[in-house]
Amino acid sequence: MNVSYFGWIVSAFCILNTAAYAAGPVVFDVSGQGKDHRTPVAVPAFAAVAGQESVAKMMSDVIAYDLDFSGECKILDKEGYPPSFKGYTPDATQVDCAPWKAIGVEHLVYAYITQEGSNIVAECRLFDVHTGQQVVGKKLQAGTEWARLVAHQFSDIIIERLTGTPGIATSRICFTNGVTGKKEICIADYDGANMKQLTQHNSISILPKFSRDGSRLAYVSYKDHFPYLYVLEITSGKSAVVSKKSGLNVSPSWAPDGKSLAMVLSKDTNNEIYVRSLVGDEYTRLTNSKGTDTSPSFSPDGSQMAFVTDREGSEQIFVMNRDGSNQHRISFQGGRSYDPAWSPDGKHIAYVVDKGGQQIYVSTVDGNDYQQVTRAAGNAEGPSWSPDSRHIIYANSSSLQLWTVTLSTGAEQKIPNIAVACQGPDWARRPAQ
Amino acid sequence: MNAKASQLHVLTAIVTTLTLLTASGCHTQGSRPANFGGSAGNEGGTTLEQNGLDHDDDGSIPAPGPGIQVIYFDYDSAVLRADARESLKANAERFRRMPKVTVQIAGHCDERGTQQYNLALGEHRAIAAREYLVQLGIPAERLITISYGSEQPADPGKDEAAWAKNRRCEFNRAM
Repeated sequence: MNVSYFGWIVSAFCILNTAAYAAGPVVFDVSGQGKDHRTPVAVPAFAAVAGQESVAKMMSDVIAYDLDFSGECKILDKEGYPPSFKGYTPDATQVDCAPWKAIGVEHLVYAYITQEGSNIVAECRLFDVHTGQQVVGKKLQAGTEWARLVAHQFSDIIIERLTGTPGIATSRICFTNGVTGKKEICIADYDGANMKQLTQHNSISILPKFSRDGSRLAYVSYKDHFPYLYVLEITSGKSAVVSKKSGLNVSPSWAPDGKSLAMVLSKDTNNEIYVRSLVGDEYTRLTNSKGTDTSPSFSPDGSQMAFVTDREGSEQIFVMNRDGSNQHRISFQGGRSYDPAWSPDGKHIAYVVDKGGQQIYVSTVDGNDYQQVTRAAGNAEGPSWSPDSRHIIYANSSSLQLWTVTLSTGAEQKIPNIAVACQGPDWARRPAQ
Repeated sequence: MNAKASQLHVLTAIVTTLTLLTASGCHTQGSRPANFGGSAGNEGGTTLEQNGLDHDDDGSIPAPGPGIQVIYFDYDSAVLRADARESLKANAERFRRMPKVTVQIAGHCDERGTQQYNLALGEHRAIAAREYLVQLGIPAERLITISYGSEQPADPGKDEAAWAKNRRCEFNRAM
């Protein structure tokens, strides 16, 4: 199972139409009132050699889920397929776009699944129904156990073709799984599949945060009897303590270069934010207030950080420079605000607002514009952005489920495939190799 | 929900006892806490909520000792209430009689707010208790703090009665 999927071969073939599509901006329309910007797409069950039909069906289902999840595509129900369509064949030249065009489909996803030795091979094509031309052609292959990932890879290619930005279907999430007193760190595909427990500390291990490259996790664990900070290398599973000062060592946030961590320590007076270099043993204190300062979140360029403080009374979101200067408030919703998360594109900060119930808000970095983005029942906490800044994952602390909201559509949905109690999610691209 | 929870309702007050663990239980590793009272989840010893008495590590039950009191807080507050100050005065009296014992103050929160914020709030509560005990004459070096945030509720209930029990500091013997 530890066979790397990175050994797979990606080869492009016969790209007939290279005209660039306009890269659409992330549209903030969570009101549900706006126009439907999604591209109508059909993903019929893929063609397959004998014996691979179920894999082909699974892969087309995965891609339909991915494209629907993206918020960029509207997937045509099978019931709406043209009557003349009798299913795909291994011969891609037989694909006829005309009947799909007649019912308003704009793109048609095709694949033919075969097997070579222990590899699954997917001949993947995307057709622009309007022109009738193939606009993407890729041959993807990997070990048969990676068939889902091959499907996700094709999804990312399709989204890049449609929007100019790669999709996030190959990305991964991490989170805490467990019950009171026994919480472990887990990792899974972004759709909850392939969940794997990374720690066996038999303690309370919480708040995992991916390094920017997705290869390491910083997290808090009580495994050595106090809340210390650890860094775990995902591939090897090896973890090492990185901060064990007296009192708190919590709320890690990676600097973008992966060489230091912001964190909260109480070693000097009370809860304050520090940056700790992972080379050497240097701690730099950034805050100094009588109350609690916590929950730092680096901006993607590393020059600033958002954090929580109760220095003015109720908990609010502040932003400061990396050196601790220019600390200023950006949350003005009333109530209490927690858990800031800076978007990977640098433009927004998501956080929890508690006004009797906890929901996620997204604000501009200056705090001047903001919007409530979740409305589902239960208390939301721990927001984290998708790598493309189009979605936010969060924990429903009432049901202990992980949910996402897609900002362009306002769609809120529970992450499928996970049947355990979850908290504290984070999200990152799968490391390139 | 479980045996611990049901027994909570039977207890009239959370009054814990201080006993010394047997040598066999004393693995001196950093400042690992050894429960001499408090709720579940801390490593090692057993708790008052389980039986109203302390166990030694070998399972024998010593005679109940003098009480150490859990203190409680208002929602989202680390301010010591009048009742908490009275409890801390009584606790300080106990701590003075055991000058070689280092006390670990464990701050806890109810489930409201967020998991991440509550780690800080629990520490803030423990620090507030420590500062008051220092004012009362307990040497600071005998008092260490730990926060469990909302990870270790004393009562798993979802109402104010349960939450009020969960916003607390417990006092354990550090070893």
